[in-house]
Amino acid sequence: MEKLNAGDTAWVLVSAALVMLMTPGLGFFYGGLVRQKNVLSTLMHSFFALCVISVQWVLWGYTLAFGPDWHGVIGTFAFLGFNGVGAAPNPDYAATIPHAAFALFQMMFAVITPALITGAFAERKRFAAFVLFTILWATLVYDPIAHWVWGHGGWLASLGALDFAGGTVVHISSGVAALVAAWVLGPRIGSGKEHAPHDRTMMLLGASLVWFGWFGFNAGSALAANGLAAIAFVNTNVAAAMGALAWMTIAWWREGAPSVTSVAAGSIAGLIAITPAAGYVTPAAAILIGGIAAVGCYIAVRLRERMHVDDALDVFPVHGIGGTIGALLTGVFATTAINAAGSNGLLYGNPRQLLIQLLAVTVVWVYTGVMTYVVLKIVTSIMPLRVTEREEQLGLDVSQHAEAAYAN
Amino acid sequence: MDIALALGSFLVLVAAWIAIGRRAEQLQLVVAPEEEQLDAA
Repeated sequence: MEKLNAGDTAWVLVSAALVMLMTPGLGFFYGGLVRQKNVLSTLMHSFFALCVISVQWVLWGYTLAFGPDWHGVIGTFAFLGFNGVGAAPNPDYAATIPHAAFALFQMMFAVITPALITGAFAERKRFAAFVLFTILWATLVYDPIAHWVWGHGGWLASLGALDFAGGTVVHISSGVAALVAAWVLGPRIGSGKEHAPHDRTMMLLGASLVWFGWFGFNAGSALAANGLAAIAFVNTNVAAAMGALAWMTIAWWREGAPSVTSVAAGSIAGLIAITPAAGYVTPAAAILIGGIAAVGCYIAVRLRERMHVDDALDVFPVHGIGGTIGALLTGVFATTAINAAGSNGLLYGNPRQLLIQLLAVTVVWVYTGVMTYVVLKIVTSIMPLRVTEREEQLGLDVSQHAEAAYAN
Repeated sequence: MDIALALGSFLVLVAAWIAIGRRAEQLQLVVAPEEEQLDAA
């Protein structure tokens, strides 16, 4: 049996708890941005994803993503029901922590990814359809992509694609799925008119919880309490900060006010973009990545507003584009001086890495786009995707959950 | 054995969610004309 390290184990378990907190935090972020009549349904999407994917991951999700490899495409069923996932380490992934700690940490990534998509179809998707979509999407989209990029023997990992904590696996997949889901569902009633956020304090509280949890997301991905975790922690914080500063500045210049919404959105854009790079780049590069991502995502949000796709909470322009920017910039700024297990990027004399990153991004975009459409069509064949017009006007809190968020 | 039971119980839940979701659709179809009559009244 490999020797367990108490510090590494403690850090990864705490990181799993931090990442867990991100999902209800995301619910508050999204919940603050929707109208009052839909806040509970939005919170419910995130909380339900936490519950249902926790069970799906133990039963079959983990083994599809991280089970013994089958031709680089998918994991086999050796870890079905967490069979063999116990106190002993799995040296293929982390030699100094229990296999169960690694699997738990990865569970929280599997939980938050479908929860991220819910921002696109907020305020109009039937709860039962959301439930079925989430289970199918996690199984058919998230689990295979996680295997390709992170699984031992996964084909994108074997090519040398770098994704420290989920730029492709989590953010591009959820962002592209959000675009497809918003397109298939169609716009909300009154789309194009102002749908003002009902509680920006809730939105900022949610963004703060998400930022806090992201330390576990990125620094925990070192899978050890070591110097790499510290670098990833620093990079995470500074990219979020620079993203907030850059987005706020553009908003102040273009819209006339340094809005609270702009710093929240900018910090999220910075966090997303540094995710694939956190353990491969210097803190100075992290500042650049955070700033570039904020500019790119701001432009993407403005362009999205001109499209006839009602991605209600801008999941695609922030997660899809932010994840893409981060994945590509990893191929530019990565250096083995930070992580000897990684690769040098374009700036360090290895342009091939950028091409590998471009391939990984393209593959995840195309696969996610096609399979999300297929999943939505499967769900549609079983039940309607969206609520009736009357239910939408009434609000999803009452029509779907028979509850109201506030007493008055 | 415990894995089979756990898998089975989760799949029963999924089947229940699908059944409830489909039943709710049928109820909507029944309720909708009544609501229209109420609206008209």
